[in-house]
Amino acid sequence: MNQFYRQLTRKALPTVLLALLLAVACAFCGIGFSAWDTAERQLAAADSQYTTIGVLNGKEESSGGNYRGLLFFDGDGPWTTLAKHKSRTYPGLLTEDCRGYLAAQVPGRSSLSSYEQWDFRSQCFEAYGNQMAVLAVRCTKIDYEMEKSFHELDPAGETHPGYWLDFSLEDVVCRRPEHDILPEELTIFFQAHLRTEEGKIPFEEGHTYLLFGFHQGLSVGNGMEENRNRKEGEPRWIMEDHGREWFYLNGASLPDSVPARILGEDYTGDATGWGLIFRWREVQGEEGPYLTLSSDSLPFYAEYEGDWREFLESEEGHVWQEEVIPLCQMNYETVNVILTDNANSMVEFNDGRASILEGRSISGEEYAAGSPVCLVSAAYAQKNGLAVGDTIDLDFYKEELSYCMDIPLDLPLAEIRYEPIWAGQPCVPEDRLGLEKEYTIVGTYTAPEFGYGWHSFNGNTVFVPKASIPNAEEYEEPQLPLLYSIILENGKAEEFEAYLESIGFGGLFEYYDQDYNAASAAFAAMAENARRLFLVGLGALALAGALFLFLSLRRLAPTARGMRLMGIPAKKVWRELWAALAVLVLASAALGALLGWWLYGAVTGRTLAAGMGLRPEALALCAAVQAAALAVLAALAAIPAARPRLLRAGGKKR
Amino acid sequence: MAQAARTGRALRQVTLAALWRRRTASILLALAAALSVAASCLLHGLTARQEAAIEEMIDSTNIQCIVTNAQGTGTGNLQMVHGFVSMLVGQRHEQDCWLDQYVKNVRAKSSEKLKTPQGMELRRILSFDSDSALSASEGASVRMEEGWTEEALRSSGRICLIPEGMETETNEAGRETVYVSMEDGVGVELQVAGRVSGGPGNVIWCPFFMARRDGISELIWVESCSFDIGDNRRLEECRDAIYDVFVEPDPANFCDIYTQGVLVQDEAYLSTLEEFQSNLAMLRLLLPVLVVLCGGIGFLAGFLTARGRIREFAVMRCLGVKRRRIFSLVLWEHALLTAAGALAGLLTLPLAGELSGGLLLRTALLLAAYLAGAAAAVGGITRVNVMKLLREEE
Repeated sequence: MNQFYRQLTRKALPTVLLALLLAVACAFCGIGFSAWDTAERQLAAADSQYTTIGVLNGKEESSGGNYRGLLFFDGDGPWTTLAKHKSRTYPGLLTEDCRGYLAAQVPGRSSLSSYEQWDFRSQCFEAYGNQMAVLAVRCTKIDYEMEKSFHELDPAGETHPGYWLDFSLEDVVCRRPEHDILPEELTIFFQAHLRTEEGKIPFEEGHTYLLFGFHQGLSVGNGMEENRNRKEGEPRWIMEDHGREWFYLNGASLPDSVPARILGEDYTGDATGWGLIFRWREVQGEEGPYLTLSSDSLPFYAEYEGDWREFLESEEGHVWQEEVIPLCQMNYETVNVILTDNANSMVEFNDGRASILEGRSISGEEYAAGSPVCLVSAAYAQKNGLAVGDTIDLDFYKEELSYCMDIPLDLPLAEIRYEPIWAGQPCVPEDRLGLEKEYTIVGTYTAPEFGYGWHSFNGNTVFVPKASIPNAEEYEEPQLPLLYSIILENGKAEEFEAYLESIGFGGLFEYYDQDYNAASAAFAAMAENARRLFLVGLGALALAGALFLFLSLRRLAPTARGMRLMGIPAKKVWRELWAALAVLVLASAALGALLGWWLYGAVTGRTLAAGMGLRPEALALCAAVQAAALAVLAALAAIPAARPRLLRAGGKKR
Repeated sequence: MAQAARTGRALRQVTLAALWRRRTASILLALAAALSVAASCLLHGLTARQEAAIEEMIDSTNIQCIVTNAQGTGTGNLQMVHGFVSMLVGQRHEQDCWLDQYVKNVRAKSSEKLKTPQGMELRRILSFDSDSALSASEGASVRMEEGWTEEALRSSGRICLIPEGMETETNEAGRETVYVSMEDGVGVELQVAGRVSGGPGNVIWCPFFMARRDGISELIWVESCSFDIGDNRRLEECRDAIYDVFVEPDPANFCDIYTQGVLVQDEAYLSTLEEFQSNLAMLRLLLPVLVVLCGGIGFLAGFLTARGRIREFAVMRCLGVKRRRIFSLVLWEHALLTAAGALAGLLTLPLAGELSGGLLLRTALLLAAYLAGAAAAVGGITRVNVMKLLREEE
């Protein structure tokens, strides 16, 4: 039998007490470790409440005079977003949210209209799908022909003659129902360049037509006045009995917004072009080139006589009945879809202008897994009778994000900088992705239903996880502020900006941290405290371990000496000595782990939320490391004890 | 009496000699006491530091409240009467409304089309951050003229911020002004107090409560409004005061101009605070654990040291020293070592930040636990039967 073990058990009390001392130290160290582990998890949980983002501001040039776009060039490499740069490492940059943008039809669910909210601050709020309409009109006047002028369908086309007409509204064939608050008596101003095949103006005074395009709606001075001195309960806007509005083929009430695509050459060699809905081609006439509709384009007008309903039933009205009107109605059911990896990285959500009203935000796991979940605006949900937990079907369309601006005609364009308004382009069949998917609403958000600004979205916006759409990166547009944010480590915005400044690109980003700075001192204190507590636990263990080994070896030294005097090899003595100590050490570590588990469990059970308290696996790991470390120390300490100087007297007399 | 005093002195000298003879054990015991005190200082320091940081967080966090319509479906086109803003900024004290005592940093915006200059808009704001068009993220920056600050926007003065490059006039007093008139034809001359570069060019900003006509109060329709909780320590009280005036947004609410909702965005603040406070509570609960540990260490130390001296105690008993006397003698030894250790432990005071009554109380509690542990051990050993012991020794 192991002599040392016998020695230790013969006088059990001191042995037990020493083991208890070590166990207490192990428990304290385990508590320190668990507290550190808990604090780290608490910090992570608290930290996750905050998202620090950087968004591009409107400045075109950096502090170093560099243009914003240059920042995104990866050295001499291609233009790419910052996280993909190989030539630079940006301090504090965690990731980027390169959001994608699509449109989607939600069958049976009507999108929001600013009209239903009696919000006429800007006509751009309805651009463009909500402005699509088919009107039955009578041509009342051909004002004049523009021979060579700027044209909505042809930004570069001073060479195509246009015309300007007045219509009176006969009837509404298809328009958003919410727009029916407009006066019944409407004069419609119409300006276009598209002519007949023969190059003639396709309208004649006194004739009736179906007109397809974008109606602008009323504006101040054009059939609507602001009720400046209104009393409580009166509407802000007053409509006159007779209104006037523009009607466009390309949403050109919104200059600088969606320029018509530049004329190109088709396979026949003709110059062609297309706008939001229509396609056209250039024809060389005797007096110069003019534009006419392509054969594959939808019509923008049709002459009829009598009742327009009868016309729709006719063969000529077939395309209007089957394609034009359904296209309008489909656009009244479309929403904007933002594909994101973190909605909180958008300025409006981050700074609190938008917030979750009911339900919850999309979780990190759902973003990562591409779960079919979405956030919709509270206004949209209310209008369509939707609630958290309901599902909506999204039929996706590819779409380019565009902005439009209110341009008062009486102000010089060049002098004025206008507030941008996000305008969704109309959905057309050729842009349909053929991707239909059912999404569950997990939360509704409240935000300005319609607003201005590069970072604003409107109430028709649905947020879905980017990974829920195949090849979502194809729809990213990081050049646009609304669709690009950098996500930084909390508290690292200054460091990031300092780095940008050092490379000459300071001042291009604005940072938002959800008031993390206010809590940063508490975060730092908690992290520091956790570290200190753990270090103290380690210190206590080291001290107790040293005491344990010192006292134990002092007790066992005479036995070791005796064994050596009896000729037992030092190696065997060491082995037996270490084995006896190891038993004690392991028992102490196990007991310490149990004690720590009990004490810390009792403490955290009273103070911490479920899931934040003791983690048995962490404590077990700590106990195993403690046991291993103590066993190694015991082995080392046993070496000199197993090799006493046998020629010296047997120690000091006590 | 003198004899007893002499005996006491002699015994104490014996004790001191014993302490010196077993100096390794003495040092270890003092070290254990020092560590206990150091642990107490550390724990106190950690707690105090965390408490201070939490206090700072509570004071400096801005809990934002967004005004919505009653149903919570919109925040950008409220069409709210300005009376709500008046209440928020403390202009309704005479009506016994003290809402301003519970909120701060009120932001509000109102806009109306202008007849002159044509095509432009007048925006009434309470601060720069009342209108996102003035934010840096939209590319705007505001430069106030000399003598003016943002605070001027909280007044009712006839001043304005104009887009950079906008034409102005100079009035008889030599001040730069712009003349604006609304759709109702009422015009007013506004003194230029600042310029906005990079922002929209078709907007003129003026103080929210700018009076167009002297002595005539006009209704202002508020488009958007938000504010911060005035005192986070009284969050519940502030919430109650806010919801006395506003309602909690609910799709079931009826929307009218007299009913507006408010969303209090306190989730992140509350959950962070909860994490910090639970961690603090955990630190506080570690003190009892430390007390138990100290008691245990004291017991162990007392037992180990007293056990080796059992023959010494037997001899003392044979010489007529009472058991209680031996007990108090050994305890005095421990007290001496503990005091020495405590003094050494107090060198770690910087860990605690500063000396305070709480720290002293904690330290005293730990030392008392330590001594109590030692006393229990020593008491057990000194109670041993001398005759039995001598017989065994024989």
